[in-house]
Amino acid sequence: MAQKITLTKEVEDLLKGRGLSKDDVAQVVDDVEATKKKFYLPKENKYLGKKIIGNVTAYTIYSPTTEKDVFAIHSAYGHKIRMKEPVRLITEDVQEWECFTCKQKAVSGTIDMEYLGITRAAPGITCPNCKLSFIEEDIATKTLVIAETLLEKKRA
Amino acid sequence: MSVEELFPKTDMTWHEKATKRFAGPFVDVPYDRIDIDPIILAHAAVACGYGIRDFYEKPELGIAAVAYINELYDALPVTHWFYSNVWLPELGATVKCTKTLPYIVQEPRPIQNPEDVDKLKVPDVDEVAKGFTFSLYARAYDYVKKNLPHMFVPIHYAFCLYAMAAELVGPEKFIMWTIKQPKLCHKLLKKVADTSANGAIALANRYGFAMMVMGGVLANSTVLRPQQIKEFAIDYHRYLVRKALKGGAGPQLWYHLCGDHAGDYQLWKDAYITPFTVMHIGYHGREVFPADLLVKEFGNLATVMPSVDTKLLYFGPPSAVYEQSKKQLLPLKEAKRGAVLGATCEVPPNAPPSSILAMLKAARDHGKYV
Repeated sequence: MAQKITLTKEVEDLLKGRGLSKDDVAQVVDDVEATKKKFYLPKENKYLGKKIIGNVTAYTIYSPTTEKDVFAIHSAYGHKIRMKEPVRLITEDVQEWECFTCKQKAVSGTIDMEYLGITRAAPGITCPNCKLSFIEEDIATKTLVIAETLLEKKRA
Repeated sequence: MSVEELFPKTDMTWHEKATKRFAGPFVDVPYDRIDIDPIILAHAAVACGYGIRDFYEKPELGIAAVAYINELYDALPVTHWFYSNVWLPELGATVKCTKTLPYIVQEPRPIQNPEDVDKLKVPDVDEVAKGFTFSLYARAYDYVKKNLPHMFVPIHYAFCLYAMAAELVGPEKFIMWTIKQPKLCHKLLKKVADTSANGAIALANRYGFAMMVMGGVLANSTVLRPQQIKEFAIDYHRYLVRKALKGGAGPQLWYHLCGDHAGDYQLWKDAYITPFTVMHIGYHGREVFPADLLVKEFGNLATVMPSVDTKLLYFGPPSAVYEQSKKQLLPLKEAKRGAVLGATCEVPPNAPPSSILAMLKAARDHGKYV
């Protein structure tokens, strides 16, 4: 079932700047609400979910609203570098996000990523139980964006 | 003569090849052979007829000399300039160069007693950008950006956070604090890490990105127990990198673990790793850290950088440098995320060029990919 989303002008502008559309975000929310593969931030009542759309892994941070099946979008971001699997968990570095399914706090760690056939590691957050993993917003929009550009440039 | 007139222009044919070689480990496109990076700093100035002091007090000259010498040694296609006691004047220290040493903290140290730690103010990004350390970096990088743009990589050098804190207090006293007053050490380390992160962010703000060089230098297995290295060094490097990445620094990270890391090297697997991370370890006990062990432990996480002993580079003979280089090069073909052959620390300024040329010869003879 298609979920409805609401977003402010500021968030809409942010999406545009990051090459994402409202439809991309709606797809992420739809998919995440169907699979329940998401992280939850209890103190802010926010969810973090992701979906691969074309060559981009798109992430959305959103919250339920008072209306059934309507979600407020807080932010969205993406990266082209493709996530493979977590290779190292730092179990004592406990994060505020928790796995919605496993009810376990996420931990930071190192995740293998692949781009242009090149596998390299990046910092991420992972559920220690089911290994569901995410890249945080600032790492995706700063570190990985530059890394993708450098990989493209150096590979050329 | 201006600095621009001191050195011949870069041979761009060499530079193109060196760039392909340099990029190889990071993008899985092996070019011809494994690169060498003997961490050339004041050695470049000395090799060009200047003094050690010239290198540190004249960053434009220093970084231009490294660029020129890198080309002559067929080493890196990028240039750099840094020293160890960075970001300390911003925390109240007075530093001074001598004829043979880079900036050294002068007595009296800014932290004399525990109360001084509480009083210490962390400069924000704007304040760091107006400070002593940043102004030297900006002179070096502005020069390269203008005159040698093909060799430009802005580097934020964090050195060893534990050693930086120790310099503010006095190394012996700080090591005693580590044992007897750990909370006080944590308080100071947090302030040092925040200052250094602000330095990284200031550089990223000015140049768009900033490669981060960090070290476990005083925090080594000879001085601290492994658990102490984790608590007083690795955890703060994680904090520093996280904050700096959030502020736009990185994505390149180079961990330069100088000294003996026989007891703690495994713990550095918990350091922050980005797609462009180099793990460089100097010693295992009194011997150079074996390249095969480095490949086995870190080859699936990062680009590895084993070392040739700087004592050997200084004393020679070239045949011994060649043999050790060969021994360290042979396991590197198994490094899945690439490798560079380095030195255990900065090549001594007065090391004979024949030592570095012996490393180069070994790389040409035994570091070929095919």
